Parts: sequence; C-alpha cells; structure tokens
Amino acid sequence: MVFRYGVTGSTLILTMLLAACSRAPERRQYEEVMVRVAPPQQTPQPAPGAAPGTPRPGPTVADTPAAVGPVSAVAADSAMLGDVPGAAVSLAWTTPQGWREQPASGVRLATFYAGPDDKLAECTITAFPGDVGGTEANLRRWVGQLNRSVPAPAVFQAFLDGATPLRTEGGLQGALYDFADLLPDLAAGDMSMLAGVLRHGNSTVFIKMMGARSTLEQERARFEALCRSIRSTATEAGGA
Amino acid sequence: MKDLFIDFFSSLKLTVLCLALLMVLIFWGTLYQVEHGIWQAQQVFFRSWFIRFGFLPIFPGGKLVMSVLFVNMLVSLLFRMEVSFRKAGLVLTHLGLMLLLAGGWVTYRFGQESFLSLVEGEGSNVSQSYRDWELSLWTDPSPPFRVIAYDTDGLRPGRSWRVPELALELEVETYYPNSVPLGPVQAADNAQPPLNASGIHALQPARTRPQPEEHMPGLIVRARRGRDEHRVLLFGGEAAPTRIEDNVGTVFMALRRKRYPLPITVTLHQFNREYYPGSDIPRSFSSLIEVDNRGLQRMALIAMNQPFRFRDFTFYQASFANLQDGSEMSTFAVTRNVGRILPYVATAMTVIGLILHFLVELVRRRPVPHAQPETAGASS
Repeated sequence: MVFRYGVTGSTLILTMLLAACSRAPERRQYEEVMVRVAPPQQTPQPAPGAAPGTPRPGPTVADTPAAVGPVSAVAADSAMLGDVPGAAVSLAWTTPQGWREQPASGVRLATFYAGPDDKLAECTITAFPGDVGGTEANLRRWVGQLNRSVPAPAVFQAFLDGATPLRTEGGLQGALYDFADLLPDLAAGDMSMLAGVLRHGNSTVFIKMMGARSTLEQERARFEALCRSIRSTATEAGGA
Repeated sequence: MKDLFIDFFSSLKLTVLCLALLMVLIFWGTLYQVEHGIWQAQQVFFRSWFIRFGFLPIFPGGKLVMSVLFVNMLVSLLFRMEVSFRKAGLVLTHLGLMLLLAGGWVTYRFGQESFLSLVEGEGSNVSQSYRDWELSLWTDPSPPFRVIAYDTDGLRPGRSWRVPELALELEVETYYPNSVPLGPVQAADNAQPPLNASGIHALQPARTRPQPEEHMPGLIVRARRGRDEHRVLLFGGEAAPTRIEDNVGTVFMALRRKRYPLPITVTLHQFNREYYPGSDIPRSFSSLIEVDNRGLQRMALIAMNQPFRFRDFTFYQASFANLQDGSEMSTFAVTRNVGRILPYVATAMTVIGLILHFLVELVRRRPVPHAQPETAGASS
C-alpha cells in the first residue's frame, strides 16, 4: 500500500516538474499606442552636445519601444533609482591628454577610457534632474557596485566629510570622492572608483571613473582636471 | 462529525477570536510597515496564510483569519440563524459583512495597481506595473507596436519556448530578479559579449530587496531564428531595446516593467501646479488630459483628491517632475478594481440591516402600558 502511494506520488511530482520545465512563461499580446501632440509651450532645442537620436528625457524613456539607440550601462544603472535621465544638459569639458573619448550615447554625455589596455578604466559623465536621491545615497549604492559592504556609519561619515571640494572653470560646485579612501583594504588590482558630484542649476552632474585601483591612482590628477574643466555651454558655443 | 463542524464554525467564540486576531494583525502590520513599507506588510500580514519566522509559522495570517471568519458567518447564517422577519436585519448584516470580505478577495485577486507617466504632449494606452516585469518582443519600428510579452515570473534557466509569429525560439540562459549591469571594464569575460543595445557585457546578481519596485532584473536569453543564434542580454534599466537583425527580419527585445493595456488612450495636454507663496512646497497640482475612447475624445481634469474614473479604472494624480528641457511630466497612479462597488453595497447592506434590526427590536420590546388601578375614588 505504502509502495503504491509512493510510486503514484513520485509520478505526480515528476510529471509536475517536467511540465514546469517545458512550460512557456505566461504570454500576453497587446497593441501599444504612443501619441505625440504639440505641447502647450515650445520645447527648447537640445544642447549642442546632445547626441543625435537621443531619446527625449523622462522616465518612460527606459520603457519606450521606439527609443532605439545606444545607451550606457552606467546610464541604465542610474535608472535603478527611477530617476529621470537628463539628456539635454548643456555642458562642455576638456578631455585629458591620453584619454580616449567615445561619442555621447543615450544619457551618457561622454565616455572616456584611460590607462593601460589590461587595466583599462572607464569614465563617464551623466547628468540628471534634481539631487537623484542625494549624494550620500548614491555613494552608498556605488560601494555596492564595487562588491563591497558599506562601512560603519562613522567611517562613512568621515569619508563624506573628507571629500575634496570641487569648483569648476564654469563655476559649478561639488566634491570629489575617492573610494580608495573609504576602502583602504583594496588591492592594486581591485576595482575602485573616483566620483565627482557637481550641482548644475537644478541638476546633478556625475563624473564616475571605475577601474583598477592602481590605474585610478595614476589617472587621479587627470580625472580632477576633467572635473574642474566642466562648464555650462549656455555661455559657450560648441561642446563636448 | 457534521454537528461538530457546524458547532465549531458557527461558534460566536470563533467570531470573537477572529476579530481579536484581526486586531492584532492590524496593529502588528501597522508597526511593521513603518520599517518595511506597505507592500511588504500586506504580503507578510494580510496576504499570507501564516506569519512565518523563517519557515516556522508563528501566527495566523490575514488570509487564514478572514477565510475562517467568512466560513464562520456563512455557517452561522445557514445553520444557526432563525429565518424570520424578526431576524431579517441580522441576516442582512451578516450578508453585508460577508460581501465586504468577498469584495476584499476580489480586489486582492483581480485588482491591478500601476502607473502612467506622461510628458506634456504625450499620450499612451498602457500603464506600467510597479513591481512586475515582462520580456517584450515586437517588430514594428514605429507605433502602434504589436507587442508579444512574457511575464518574467515564468523565466527559469533552461526554459525554452517558441514564438511562432516571429519564427523565433527562445531559451533562458540566466535570469536574475535583481541584478547589476557590468560594462566592458567590470566584466570578467569579454571574449564574446552578448548582444546588447547599451554596451552591457555581463550581469551580476544582486540581493533582492524588501521593496520589489527597487529591483532591476537582468536576463540572458538565446534567440534562435533559422540558422542564426543570438545571445541577447537584457537589463531592466535600459533606455533602449536590443535589436536583432538577421535574414528573417528585425525583432526588438526589451526587459521592461509589465504593461497593462488600458481601454482608452490618455494624452497629457497641460500640467499645472501652484506653490505656497515663498516656498517650494506644492499647494496643488493638476493635469489636463484628453481621453480617447475608440475615436471619441473628451477632456478631463485630474487633480489632487479629484481622480478620473473610467469603467473599472481610476487615475489619480500621483506626482510630477520638471524635466531638463523645461517640459513637465505628470505621473498618475492607475488602479483597476473590478469589485470597487462591492464595499459600498456591503456597507449599505450592513447599515440597513442594523437599522432594521434596531427598529424590529424597538417595536418588539416596546413596554405594554399597564392598566391604571382605580384607587383614587375608592380612597376618597
């Protein structure tokens, strides 16, 4: 009797498992309509530095089927906050010598690569409306991107307080954070980060550089120079 | 056995116990939501059979208590309650309370909560889920998009299925409910990065959070069409879909918040806001929308405490944002509740039942006037 129930039960469980393995996920079909009518006020033209085909700003950008075009991993990561990408920020900067600049894409205003090929570091400039959740919240999140736990509150506070103040050529103000100061146990080959956070009117500009700690140490002076060179193009033609 | 069942489930003690347990649940859930948020509190306290500590059930959950309360009222109504005009009020009150519980179940089972964000001049006929995601496929380069969507709940590594309309076979390689995208620098293996519109090279699983709306899922899927095979990486935070182009044609793929089709197209014409003088605190904000119902258009105003209703759908003014280009974006909370009328009917039935019962008892217990003793004349 026990054997019979055992066999029946096992067969049922196996059938359910097999059915679960081969079953397609729940499918739906719908038609998505997007309407564009003239807004009540004239929308300003995009900034000179804005990439062609840049999707219009707004949280629905990330969800718009028509928004076909490249966008960066960093920009996508920023969307984790549910913030609004600011595609039409008017900024200009001076590319440090020896850095390779990539064309603007998506909500990345610029991407640079620096350092030796085997320990390449990536630097991005992005801008978003508002404070994007606050500098502290973003810094805490970025610690996670380095696969590290956020240190004790006192240590983190000391890191915030010890940031290098920044004032750029264009008068933008903010601070520079070196994650090697926060995470002193990082080895030379471990991933680290340099981050510049600047206020630009009602927006926040992020300059993030990620790469091996040794590369960032070598490139820190150029990174600082890049941050200090940032200026608004409202008074300057041209751009990135 | 039957008597035992009836005795147990029609017991007034059981009713009192259920009400006491509900009181504890509400109190405990209210404290819990301060730290964990409303959604998590609903899941743990009210949408569960048991509250668990690890795997161990330690307290009956709202679903269990309310189900028992429903059965308790049903059994007492069927087997205990006297069917007479005198008890009509009580019967109606019981029915009203049962309908209230049933309405709660209908909302839980069939209700939808989503949002719709529109920039001035923009319109859409779909709202987006806060917490659920879908794998979307379409071929149209411009609207209207005929989207084939698969809920991500059903995505497991190794699961494969066909999409006959697109001559496509999909096989899930990796799916993370919450993930971190890695660029070329962070990815360990850059030998052959998957196809991705955003330059993401790899995904890293991230810890799931108590608030699932904070999740950003990631998916790597193998897409086979004819003799071509593409390894596609999709991330929830991407701004653009990944495009597959081969001999068969073009397919767009995206991992995005689950869409709920609306019976109307809502277009935001103008967003207005007022601030308290000398401050950044909004006093009121409203959205002027155009509602297109299969070619029939009309204007409507959605403001704070002034939602727009259409059939089972209600649109509330939820928030707004100023965009960099000077335009404004309005966000509506969209709820769909097929049973939204049930609480009103249930409450009306309960109130009428109580009034009826009160009146019947008032008439029944009215004191009968006693005959006056004729003693005055006799004594004088």
